[in-house]
Amino acid sequence: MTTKISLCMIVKNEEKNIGRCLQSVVDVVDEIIVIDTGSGDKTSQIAQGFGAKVQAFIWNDNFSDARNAALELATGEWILVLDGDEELTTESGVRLRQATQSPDVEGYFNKIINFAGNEACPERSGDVVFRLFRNKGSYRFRNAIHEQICDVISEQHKQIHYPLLEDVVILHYGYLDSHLLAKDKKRRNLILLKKELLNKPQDSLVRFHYAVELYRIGENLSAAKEFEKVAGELNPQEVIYGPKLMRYIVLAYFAAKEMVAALHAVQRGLALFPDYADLYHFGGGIYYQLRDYGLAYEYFQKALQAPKQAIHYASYYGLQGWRSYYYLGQIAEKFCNEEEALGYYIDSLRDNGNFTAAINSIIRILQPRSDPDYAKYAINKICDLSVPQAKLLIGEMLFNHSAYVAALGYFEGTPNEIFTPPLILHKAICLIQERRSVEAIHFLDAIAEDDECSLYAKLNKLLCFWFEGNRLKVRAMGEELLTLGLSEDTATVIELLMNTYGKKKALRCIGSEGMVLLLEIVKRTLDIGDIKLASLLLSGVSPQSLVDHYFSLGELFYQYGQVSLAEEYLGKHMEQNSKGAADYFLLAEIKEHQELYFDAIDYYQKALQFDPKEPKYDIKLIRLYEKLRSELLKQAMGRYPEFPIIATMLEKAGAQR
Amino acid sequence: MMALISLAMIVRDEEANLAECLNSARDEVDEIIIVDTGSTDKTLKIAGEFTDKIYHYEWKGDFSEARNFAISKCSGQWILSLDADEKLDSAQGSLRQLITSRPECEIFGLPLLTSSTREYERFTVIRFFRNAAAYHYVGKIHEQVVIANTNVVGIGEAPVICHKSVTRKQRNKKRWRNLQLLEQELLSDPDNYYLKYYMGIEWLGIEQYEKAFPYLQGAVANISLTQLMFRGPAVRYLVDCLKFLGRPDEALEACQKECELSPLFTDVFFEAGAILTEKGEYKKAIDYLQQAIQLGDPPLWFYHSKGTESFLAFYHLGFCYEKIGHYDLAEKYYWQALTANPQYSYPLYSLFLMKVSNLKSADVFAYFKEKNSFVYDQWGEILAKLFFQVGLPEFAAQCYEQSLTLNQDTSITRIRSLLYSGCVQGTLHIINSMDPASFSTDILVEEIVGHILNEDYSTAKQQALNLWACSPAERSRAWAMLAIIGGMSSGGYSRPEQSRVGAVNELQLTIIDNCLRFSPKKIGMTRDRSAFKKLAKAVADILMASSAESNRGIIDYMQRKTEERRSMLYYKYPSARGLY
Repeated sequence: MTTKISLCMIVKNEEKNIGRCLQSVVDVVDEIIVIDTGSGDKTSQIAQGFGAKVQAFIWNDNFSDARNAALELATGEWILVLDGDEELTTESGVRLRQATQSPDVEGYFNKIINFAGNEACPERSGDVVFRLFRNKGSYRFRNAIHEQICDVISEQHKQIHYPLLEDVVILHYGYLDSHLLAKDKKRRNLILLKKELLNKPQDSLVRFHYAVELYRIGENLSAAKEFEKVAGELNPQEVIYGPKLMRYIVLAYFAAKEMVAALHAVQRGLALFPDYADLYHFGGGIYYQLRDYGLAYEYFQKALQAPKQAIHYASYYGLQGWRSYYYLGQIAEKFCNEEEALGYYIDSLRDNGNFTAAINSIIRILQPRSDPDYAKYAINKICDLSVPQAKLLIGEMLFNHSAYVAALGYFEGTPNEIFTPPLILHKAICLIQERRSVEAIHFLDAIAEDDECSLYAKLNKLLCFWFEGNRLKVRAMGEELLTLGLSEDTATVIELLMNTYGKKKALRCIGSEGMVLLLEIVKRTLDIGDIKLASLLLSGVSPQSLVDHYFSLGELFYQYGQVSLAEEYLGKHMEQNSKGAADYFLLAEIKEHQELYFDAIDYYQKALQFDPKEPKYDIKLIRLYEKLRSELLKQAMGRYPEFPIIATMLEKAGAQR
Repeated sequence: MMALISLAMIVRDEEANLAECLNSARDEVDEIIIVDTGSTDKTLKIAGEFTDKIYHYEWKGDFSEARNFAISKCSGQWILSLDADEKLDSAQGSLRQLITSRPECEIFGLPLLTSSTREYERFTVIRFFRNAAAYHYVGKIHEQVVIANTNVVGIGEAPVICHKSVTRKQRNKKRWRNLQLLEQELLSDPDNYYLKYYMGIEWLGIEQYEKAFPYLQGAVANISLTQLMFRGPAVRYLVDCLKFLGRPDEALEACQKECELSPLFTDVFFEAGAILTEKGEYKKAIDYLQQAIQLGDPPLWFYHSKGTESFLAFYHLGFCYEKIGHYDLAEKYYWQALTANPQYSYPLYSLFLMKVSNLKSADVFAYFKEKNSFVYDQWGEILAKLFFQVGLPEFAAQCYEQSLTLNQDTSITRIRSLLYSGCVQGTLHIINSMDPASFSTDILVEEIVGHILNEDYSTAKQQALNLWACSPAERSRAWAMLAIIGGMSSGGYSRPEQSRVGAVNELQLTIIDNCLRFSPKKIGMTRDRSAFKKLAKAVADILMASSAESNRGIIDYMQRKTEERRSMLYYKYPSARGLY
């Protein structure tokens, strides 16, 4: 004996989705009822193609009426309800059919996975819904929006229990940005809910849904207030959406940048649901934002340590894994603990192999510019590079960290056919930096004139000649470029390159756009080790144009080991601007490099006084004191080799290490 | 006419206290009876100025007998019993008012305030009762008035008896005497829990916690809630004892049990909160502390330690909220604590640490200024010290500019704040115009530093020689300064003799440390960063070249600085300590 199952749907303009939905259930249900509330597309035809009974229904702003119209037509013993933007997972069918054989059950809860946000990297969360129930005339939906039937059935029975079918899983795509945009669902829902709220101002559930929609359209503060109202009206521990409610309060305040209120919400939420990983994770995020890295660290750890989340917590995907690990990595980096950070990023990557931000952080920590071989060794151990695209991705990341040698290694290990013009350009740039000019120009010439990258390719060709000191070719290339109708800024930079070696130079003014380009060129000049050329280039720029960039120049020169030039630029910066923590920090690093330790101490302290919340400043200061101590100890040992106290101290220090 | 109120006292060698006591009580009573048990000082003479009813009584090691003898000499209808180290504070109401307002009462408990490490503690003691045969003392020590009928006992809010605080030494001397008497007494009356209660207190007082514990435990178990005058303090002492014994869980349990039994007993709620705070269970602690605040000052028959309903609870609340990351609430409660009791300044330290680890230093100063923290000179001084401590002499110096009295300050912190914020000229000016009475060698040392910074080595040397001449004890410091002056002016200095090395090192390292604190004050600065760095460098070179001892000194100094920084980091990020 098998029971008959009727699928009941209401749809409007779902031609893009309904095929996917019906395909997933066509072998599971015995009857398909589709109520079309006014599609202007091919929805009905597609449904009919699956053998559906399609009936038109004039939309009256009431979801329950439409749903009930479908129920009226159903002839099965059981009803399954799905929406057009949902589908049933393949594995669900058998269990679903089995479930309808149980004689004492009136309906079931089952699992749903919501995909939200950006299609490429959606937010995933699980939840429970009530979609499978017996077909009885008295079981009808109510509420104009967020219609529901579960309570209706419960009211008709003295005692009722709905089992949870964990293996019956619906996938719901309706919260993806593309879907929401396409259908302007948010607005529609908001209007309907507002109406409903007027009718039922006391209904917490309606208010909850209303607040959710407010949050979705970015009315964060109003949403938070509405959520708070709901939380004030009931005990969140007693409703199934209680955990989500508490999480929404946090998220809404967070989005409204009301950090203190958000934190209070986290605490209130945790008092009610002490094992809710999402609250720990978002609490950690708030503390991170507030730069209270200690508590942030604690909260992310707690998110990871929380037990497996109950299904009605609708915990977001990854909060007990890669997303919390990633934050922990970031925090470890704040404390200059690269080793620990690396560990967390690797954990993050292990949990989600597609999480490129973790790879990027790993690459940054490996310092691929100064140590390309080790970086390569480590990357190959950590990452799965079996597909060529993966190598390209790594290559691009290395390129973005200005690690041209390492990047080139990955570019060269990848077949040329899959290179797009921007990738070709990047590979050529790596070759230029390696002074493999002939090959570089070969690749640059391969980029078509009409390609978007063409201009930048030509510019790089010019740079290639410029690095070589080939004035004639620089001039020729420059003139060609100048005929292309460049922006004023870019033209000025090119003129600057053409006249670098000229004897009489007028100082050139360059706007901020041009300065970005110029700094890039300076960086690459430093990368090939031609410090003189970099200075020569900068000597042609007017001080007014440089004034806002002295700090960046100072940092750049420091990164490339040019400490005295770094100090010079930083000095100019500090003369002309109000000083801040970052300035003093860089100055301290420079002084430490110059072994002027008392100055370094002084400036690290200064940085701390300007910004006591940056752990890096404390850590560097501690390390400096430690370094000083061990250096003084060595000196003392040299001076007083026979003195036992010093020797013991040295031994102890050795043992500690 | 028969006298209404008689004051009955037993005294021995109380010349230091007696006059104050009698002065405070003379207007409250109609007759003063003094029973002397053998004074050898001026006690009798002082007593004679207040009364002619002085009796001698041979001391027999029994307090009750002596007191009952005093009572027997009283002619008043009521008897007030005081000790010489107590005072009567009748500002809130007199004994006569008490009698007329409560005609049904024959015995009164009065509040006894003792000052302790906490603000003060309030006990209720039976000290005022009808002159009738039924009311007499029993007990050789910690003698008590016999109470036959509890219906006639009243608790008065006033007058208040204030107990004079004594030094620890004086107190301990008495405690040993008391312990001996109590032991004897217990031999004949082994089930007397009041005696056990007093035994516990005496052992606790001399820090013999293991010994105190069984007595206090027995007292709490056997003194019922109807004897709150004793039960309250007994519970409190038991909790203290358990805390000292390192058994916080049992202390907490005792508090929690008492919270249930006596839901109005503020102090046990506070204690529970304080223990939970110590245990790091901040959320639970907050509940108890909030209850303590809500209960407020408990009814008079409860033992009470002032502040547990107010500033102490606020301070603890602030601490708990800070620990769980609710900085806004932490701040609020710290200020409430400070407002409730400006003398209790710990919350100011907490606020300062909180602010200095969150805000730009200039904003920290602006914050305290905006919060009117300089209305109390005491707060201004604390803030100045703290600013100096964390390496911000510039703001420390500014603290002293915030009020007229602070501006007159010539403390060492003031001098250092000015000097190490570069106002060398200003510092020397203040030192020159200082009242010789407040001038100290510490200040002279800073003056010498000022001359060195000014590169005025001859004056510096002159003053260093003056320091040498001050006293033999100052010679090491003088040597340290002379070495610096020599090193900086001529490049030559001699090594100190072995016995001076420690003190020389210490001062020289302090000077390095202070120089590295330098932060320039915008107004009044006459020497800049480079002068301080030059000095620090020169001193470090001298230390490194001096001796192995001094090398070790500077190496240890670096170690201390590392630890200092680390503890700051630990304060800021306690839960991330796995990372650093």
